Amino acid sequence: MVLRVITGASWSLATGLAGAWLLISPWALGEQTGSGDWTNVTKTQFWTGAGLVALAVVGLVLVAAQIAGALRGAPAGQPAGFRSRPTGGGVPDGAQTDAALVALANALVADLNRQSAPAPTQHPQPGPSPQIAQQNGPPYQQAPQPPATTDPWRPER
Amino acid sequence: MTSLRSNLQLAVLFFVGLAAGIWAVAAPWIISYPTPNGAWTSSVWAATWVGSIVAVASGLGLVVALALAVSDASRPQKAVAPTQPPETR
Repeated sequence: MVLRVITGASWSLATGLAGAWLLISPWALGEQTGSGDWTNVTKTQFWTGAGLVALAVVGLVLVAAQIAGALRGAPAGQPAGFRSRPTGGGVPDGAQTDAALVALANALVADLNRQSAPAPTQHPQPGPSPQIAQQNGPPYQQAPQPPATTDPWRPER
Repeated sequence: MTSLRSNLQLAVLFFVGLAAGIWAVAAPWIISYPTPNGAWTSSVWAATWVGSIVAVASGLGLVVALALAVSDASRPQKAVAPTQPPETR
């Protein structure tokens, strides 16, 4: 799939560019003036270039259609060209699925046990580390807060 | 089967491209482009180079597409797994 798309797209690009150059070459090379009648050379090169450009467009459409078809047939979020190779004939093995489910259940149980374990009763005291406290001298003591005299929930007047 | 058909489509396209390239190379002599004193004009050079590039690219693409088509055709068909509900325990 990938090789086919790369080959088709590269060929379309090369053929399109070559055809476009052949199409404009009579004017680009100064062999055809703008107002005069077309010579046989101009006609041949123009129509040959136009045919090559048309072929390149057809090739691009084919490649785009193949990519779109592959993406439609692939699982969600996974391009068909990069689909993983199935093991064991493409059918999921029941034992493998069971093992994976058991491992997942065990992990969930362990996680739940960890979350429901009792919280530690003693938390470490906040404050500077011993090294910083040694550098800064005596520990900082917070000034006592005055008692609240008014109800903090009542708006002030 | 779809892959085989896609490869064959590209092979036909490359074959037409090969024919177009050969035509572009041969056109100066078939149409009798003017060659003063036997020297190639720029039109002859342009047609020859463009035709050569297209012919070589189409030939390579044709080989690749045919090789992929033969590879797809010779690959054994995958067995279709029967659709059945998962086993409940």
